[in-house]
Amino acid sequence: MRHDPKIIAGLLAAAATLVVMLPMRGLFDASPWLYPSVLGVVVVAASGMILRSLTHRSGVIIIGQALVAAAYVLVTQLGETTRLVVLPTPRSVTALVDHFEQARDTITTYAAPAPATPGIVVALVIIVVVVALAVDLSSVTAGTPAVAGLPLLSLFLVSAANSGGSLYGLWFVVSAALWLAMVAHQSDIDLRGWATSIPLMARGDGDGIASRSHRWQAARVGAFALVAAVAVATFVPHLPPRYVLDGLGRGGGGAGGGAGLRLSSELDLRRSLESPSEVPVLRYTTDDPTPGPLRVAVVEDFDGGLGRMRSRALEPQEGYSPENPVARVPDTIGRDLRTLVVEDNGIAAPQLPLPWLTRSADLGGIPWSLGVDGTAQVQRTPGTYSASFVELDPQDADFAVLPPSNPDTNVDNTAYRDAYLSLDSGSIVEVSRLANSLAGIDATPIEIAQAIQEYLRGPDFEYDLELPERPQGRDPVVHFLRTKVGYCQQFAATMTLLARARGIPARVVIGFLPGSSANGRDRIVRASDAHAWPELYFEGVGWTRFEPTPGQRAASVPGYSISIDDSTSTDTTTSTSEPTSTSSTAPSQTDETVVADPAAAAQAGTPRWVWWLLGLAGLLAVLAILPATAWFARRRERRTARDSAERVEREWRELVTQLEDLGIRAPVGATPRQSGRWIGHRMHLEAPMQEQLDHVVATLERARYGTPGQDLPDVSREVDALVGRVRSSRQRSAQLRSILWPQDGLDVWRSWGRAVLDRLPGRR
Amino acid sequence: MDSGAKWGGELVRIGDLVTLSRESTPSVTPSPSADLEDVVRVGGALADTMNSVIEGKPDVVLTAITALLAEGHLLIEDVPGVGKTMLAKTLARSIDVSVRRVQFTPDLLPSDITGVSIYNQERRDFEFRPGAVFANVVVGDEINRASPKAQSALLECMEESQVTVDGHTYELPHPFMIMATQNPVEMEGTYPLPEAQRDRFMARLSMGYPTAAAEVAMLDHHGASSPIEQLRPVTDAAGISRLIHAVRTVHTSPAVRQYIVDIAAMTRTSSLIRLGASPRATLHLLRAGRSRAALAGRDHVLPDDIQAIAPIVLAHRLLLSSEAQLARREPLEIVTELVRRTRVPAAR
Repeated sequence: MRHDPKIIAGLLAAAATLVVMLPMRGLFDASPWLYPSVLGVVVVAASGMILRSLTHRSGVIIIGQALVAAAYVLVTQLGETTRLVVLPTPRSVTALVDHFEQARDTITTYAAPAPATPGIVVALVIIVVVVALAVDLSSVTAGTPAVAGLPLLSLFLVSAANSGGSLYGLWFVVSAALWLAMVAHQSDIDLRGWATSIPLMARGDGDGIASRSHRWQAARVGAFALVAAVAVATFVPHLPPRYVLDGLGRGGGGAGGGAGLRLSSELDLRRSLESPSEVPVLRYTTDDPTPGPLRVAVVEDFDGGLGRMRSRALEPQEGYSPENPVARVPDTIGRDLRTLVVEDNGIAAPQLPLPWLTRSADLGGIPWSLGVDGTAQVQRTPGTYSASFVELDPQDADFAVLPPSNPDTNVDNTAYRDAYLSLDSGSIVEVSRLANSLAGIDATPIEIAQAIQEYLRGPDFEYDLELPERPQGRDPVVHFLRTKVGYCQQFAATMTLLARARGIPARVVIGFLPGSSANGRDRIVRASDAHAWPELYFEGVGWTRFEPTPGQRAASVPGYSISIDDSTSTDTTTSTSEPTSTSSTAPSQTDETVVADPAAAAQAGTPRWVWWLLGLAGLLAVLAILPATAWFARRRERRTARDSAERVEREWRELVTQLEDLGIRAPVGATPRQSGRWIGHRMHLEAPMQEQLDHVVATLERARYGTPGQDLPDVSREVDALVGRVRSSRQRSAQLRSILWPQDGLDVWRSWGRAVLDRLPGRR
Repeated sequence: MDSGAKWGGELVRIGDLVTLSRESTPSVTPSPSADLEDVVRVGGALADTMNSVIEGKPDVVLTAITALLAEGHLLIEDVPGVGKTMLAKTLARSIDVSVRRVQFTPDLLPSDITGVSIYNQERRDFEFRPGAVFANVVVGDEINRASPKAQSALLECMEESQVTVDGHTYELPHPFMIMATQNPVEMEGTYPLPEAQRDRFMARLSMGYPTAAAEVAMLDHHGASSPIEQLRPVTDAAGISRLIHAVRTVHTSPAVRQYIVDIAAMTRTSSLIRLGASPRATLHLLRAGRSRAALAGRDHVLPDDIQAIAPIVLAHRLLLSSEAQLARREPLEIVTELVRRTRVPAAR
């Protein structure tokens, strides 16, 4: 027997998955994952068509497709770990876990575009194949392409929400059009299906059935869309509000030489971060493959809050040329000379975004100067300028350099040393206590800094532009440490203060994230890319950038800021320190763990499978509500009948509703005899069952039309036998639906709902 | 007259009027107080007997028996030669009752039907000579050939089972049934029955041509002699009366009564029909339904009985609207459709 492979629907599903997948190229700096993913989508679509042409059992199709897809992933991505080409081994599992961990690290460490590590490739191929499976299953095999919109939308939102910038609008238009084409194609099939499936007998009622199911379908799609709209919006954070339109509007406007943007001295980055404006404030190119953020200003003073900006730049001079910023950096540290060309500068004078360790700059003759803190001052806003800078690549060993005996000779900012170590009186107590608890007394400065950053990037802290209500008089940093909710400013200021409390000179720098790149070369910085981060001073290395802000709205995390040893700082201190220090630090660290993960502690007493079991039991209980209601309703109906005629009438209604659940709809307004004939015809009953049906019908006739008061036999056994016989002849899905979603159970709930509504006051 | 001579027995001629009576004994007799079993038994025997003469028309035979037991009159309408008169005669001969046959002609007088008071010279008084309707079964042949005056003479006796002549009222025998035949094709010189009179017939039958096999069988049986000759009456007048009485006891539930009224209402509101069913039609529908249920051995009427009987009970009473006539719709088909569209009441 030949089955419909649904080629057009399958092709549409594959095309939609491909289109939705392609924008992810912007998230990574290379696309080695692209071809395996495309091939994966093709494999899923082709296996679906082949399986559908062989069988119509959706279970077989789904399992077959999943197996083929799994084999594809194993062979192409984990080929070296499999046995007999496709059989997975324990090594495959560990390899898979390793890949996923690498992918997770990559995503949490880098902002888009992230490097396409092998882990990323494997994870992406698996994600794309799973989405392709879900789309193919829902839209083609199950025939509900509306539902396929959900996986498509999720994959699309991965690109849309993480690219940092905005997607080209055409991506959305094309994918949405493909989805609509899928829906339209299926509707066409459904409409043609109706023409033949309307039962002849019920022709008078046929329009009603068709339109009812149409309405039901529409209602379901609408409900799904609504739930999806709410759920997706809830789970995808910080979706740029106009990412759809931006691709169209990007070419217009332009930054131009208008008023430009200036980072406020009141340091309210939040306004910039929340800015919906998609107009670029800066457009530049650089030869640095992983550019750091651009610095605009430095915050040193933290009296009474998150600090105030203070520029140590000199008065702008004509023909200014700065001294070599790396003159005092030891030669052992790896360095690269990079250039930066700004083509469109929208930052108003006197601020000028420059990378750290700028060696020289060409502003086209505009007077400028560079402060010892690396911030520049310009007289006028240069529309375009270029700068060359040194990118240092310090290794852990470099940080181990001991401070020179005479600090005065080496530190470029000795004069300001005190300023970089002062704490704010409002938060000094809390900050000092926390700083001491984060790392042991004998920890090296870099270890302390790493511990602070790890603590702030930990799971307790949450990135949110909406800050919790701050009580009157409470210091902002103290408030942040208690609520653990904030954005880059809070994270940067707190890390700075924590570092200062341990004697590490530190400051907050505000500026811009490196921005997003459409073609890998030109980078675009928007107002919402404004950022604040701490810089800490280490002897022998100088000022180094740290990134305590978690989440997407942050720069990439520098390698030196992550401790190599993956274990917690607790281990480091206990292994390297003397017993006395261990005893002094241990209690506070224990406290820290308890605070860090209270949920884990609470769950430790109950094994996980108990929760699973409870969840399963709950699910079963929910599923059993309707069947149980139906069963009790039937029993009550039979018991509470006033006479045998009413009982027979109810037993007949039971038969009719249950058969309706199974897809056999008795004609409306027909005589019992006609209904019985119709049911017998549809059920293809053999002789004994037909006799039982005839008996039920004859009893009903006597109950309905016979002399009142006669004693009629109980036909519930026959009814049950007939329903059982029909149920066993139906498809598995129809059987399940009739058991889990019985109409008489629904009716009971409906009547209860109506009764409650009627009692509500003001209904009359 | 030829047909009269063939019937045998005593022959009384009054003009075109033929009176028959026979002295044969009935073979199946209902018990003194008949119940439904008797109805089924006698009805079955009656149908068997008639089916042996009327080949291949069990439905028509059943309808005729239904009308007989429902105390209704039959109008048999079809082209000549398909056995209209044969059906009427067969029914009459299958029961041991008094049968009269009236050949309706344009010169037939009302007094020929009802009877006339004649001055008796010897007794010096008016003496009532009963007309053709004074029989249990009256076969009226080609009823539309008689003048309206003669046709209307039938009116009173059909409805009230009595005759009034010169101020005297004479009861007609029980059971009393008129079976009239009508030829729909030769319309010239005929007087189509007025609505009022058509309404008094319980059902109108159409014989239709026999099937090929039935026609062959008919040639075989009827070739030598008429099988009517060999008919043995199944029961007598008293037996039929008891059966009729039994039929009256058949239960009609409120739902079925509602259903009958609903169907009648449908014919009155349909845009295809100018004149719908009269209340008498609903009564006839109920009685025919009862009779049909009893013949099936049921003590209650089903909507299915009503559905089966409704077209032949209602069709001849309806006047179609001009649109329906222009669309060449047949009343029978319209009634069938209306019945199909009427919802059967489910509750008791």
